[in-house]
Amino acid sequence: MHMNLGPFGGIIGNPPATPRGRMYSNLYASIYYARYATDSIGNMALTLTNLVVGSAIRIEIQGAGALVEFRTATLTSEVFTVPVYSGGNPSNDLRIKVRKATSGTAYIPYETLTTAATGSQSIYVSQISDE
Amino acid sequence: MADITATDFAISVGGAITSVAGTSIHTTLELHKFLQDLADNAAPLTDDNVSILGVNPSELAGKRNAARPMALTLLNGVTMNDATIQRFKFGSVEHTSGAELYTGINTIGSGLTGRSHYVVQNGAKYNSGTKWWAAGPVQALFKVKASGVLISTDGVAGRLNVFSRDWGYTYSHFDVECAAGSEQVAALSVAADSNITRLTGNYTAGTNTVTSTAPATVVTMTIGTVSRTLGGVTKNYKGIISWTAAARLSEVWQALQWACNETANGTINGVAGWRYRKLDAAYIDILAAPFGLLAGGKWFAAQGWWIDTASLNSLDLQGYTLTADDGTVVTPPNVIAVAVGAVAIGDYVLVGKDSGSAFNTTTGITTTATAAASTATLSGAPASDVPTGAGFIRIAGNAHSYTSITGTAVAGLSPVVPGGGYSAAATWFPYVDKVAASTSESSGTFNYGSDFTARVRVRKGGTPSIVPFETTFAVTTAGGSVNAIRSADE
Repeated sequence: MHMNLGPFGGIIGNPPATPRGRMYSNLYASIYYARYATDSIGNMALTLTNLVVGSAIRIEIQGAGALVEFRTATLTSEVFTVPVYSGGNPSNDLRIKVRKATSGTAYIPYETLTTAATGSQSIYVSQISDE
Repeated sequence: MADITATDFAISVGGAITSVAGTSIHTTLELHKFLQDLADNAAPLTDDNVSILGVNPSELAGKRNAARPMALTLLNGVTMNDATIQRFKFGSVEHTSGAELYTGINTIGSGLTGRSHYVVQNGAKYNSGTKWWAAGPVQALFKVKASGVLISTDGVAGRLNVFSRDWGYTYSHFDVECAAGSEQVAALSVAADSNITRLTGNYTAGTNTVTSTAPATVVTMTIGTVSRTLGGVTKNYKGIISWTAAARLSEVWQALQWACNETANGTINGVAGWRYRKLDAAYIDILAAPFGLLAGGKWFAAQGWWIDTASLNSLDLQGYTLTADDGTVVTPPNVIAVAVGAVAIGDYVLVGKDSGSAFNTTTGITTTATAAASTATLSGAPASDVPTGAGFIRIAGNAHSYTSITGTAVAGLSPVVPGGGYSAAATWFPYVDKVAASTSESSGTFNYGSDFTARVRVRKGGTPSIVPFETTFAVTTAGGSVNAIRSADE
């Protein structure tokens, strides 16, 4: 972070609460922040459609399996906000698991892979009945 | 379908499923349901380390159907050990990419309820004979593939043998081909056996032997090909059954049947008695009784076995049939004798075949013998209805008795051959040819061939004399007998 104290010096104000952005400026100073290489560069709206309500959904990073988000579907279509990283970052490589077998009709576990990119993406989930 | 109680099983971080509590038996479908129920959890629960965090733990070959045996594959490192698999039935389980396979067996058939069953794999009782199923038809999973290799039984990969050999019941067994997985059927059939009259503690077995306490007899099986003749039929056999103390055939059979029961402690032809089936792999199994059936008091001996005739009780001479190595059924001859009663000591009794008007002395056989010898040589073997044990022979009209005839050799001639010997002398074989030493005289035993008419002549010329008595009588499968009529001639 670089802080321009302005012509009179002193504290020019607290940086915004939001995580690191490119630049902040006010009347007195301009502050710009440099991202870490591992910081996300944006988000992707990932929509999963054709879901069976009640299915457990887990989105994780492929490599180490780190959790991105876990949710139980309440609708047949669920939208996830997924962070996007700079090109080539393995954190963009996602695994999506959809499972439902505890109550009601059981389904064969569904799993697919995708790559996060800024913008939006829709995936049609094909859950096959196990009964 | 009874769900698995989660606390009954633990799944390690490495995927090993183990039974930790309870004894309930579940189907393979219930196992799959249990695993899938865990697999959609957000995180592992207690000792069950399966959740959506991990890979899919299982899949079925086909849709879930509680009415069908389910072939279950454990995936991605999920495994079960031999002890834990005992908690499951009705289907099959494989893991480690198919390198380990447990196939289900379901035993069906009649009379099986409450009967002990055992499973044999590669010549040994499965699990060293320790059963985890109750008496009655078996329905359980058995390992048939380990480390990627099907386990062979009888030289067949993936085979298991299922036996029921409960003492007091007929036996049964079935070869189950388990390589395909799922659940395979073993079809058996048993029933109470009225031929079993002794307690199991009456016997003990050894190597090709079985000893009975009551009656006291030792039955011995001698393995090896032999040629034997019975009823004029000469065949090869692959083993001899002999025994001591002239025990009855029903007792000998029972001892051999015991030697094949589940708890038997001996071997037969190098095979543990409890899995012995037959003397030669090419023969057909006799499921109910490996040594042959005992029915109607007759022992239908299993193929290849010769029953030692010298061991037979005199009441069992026709109490069995044999099946030779080549499959020919051989039956013992009907052994009979003829007798003349109501004679007196000193009467001369002559019995022979009737020609219609006299004794039939035409046999076509001649005899050659050296003077003073007690042996003689026939020009040909006598008819099958000539006694080959002790009997009578007329050579050139001279009466002799003999002790045996073997082929063309006559032994034990009495009196010995007279001076000058015999050279191709005419010969015939009376059944009785002697001075009566009692009030009844009998022939030696001989094989019944067909009904014939015998002629008897009883004479006594010395004081007190009798009017010569002569008549004919029938000889049948039961033998023949007649009473002389002694009318005083003074």
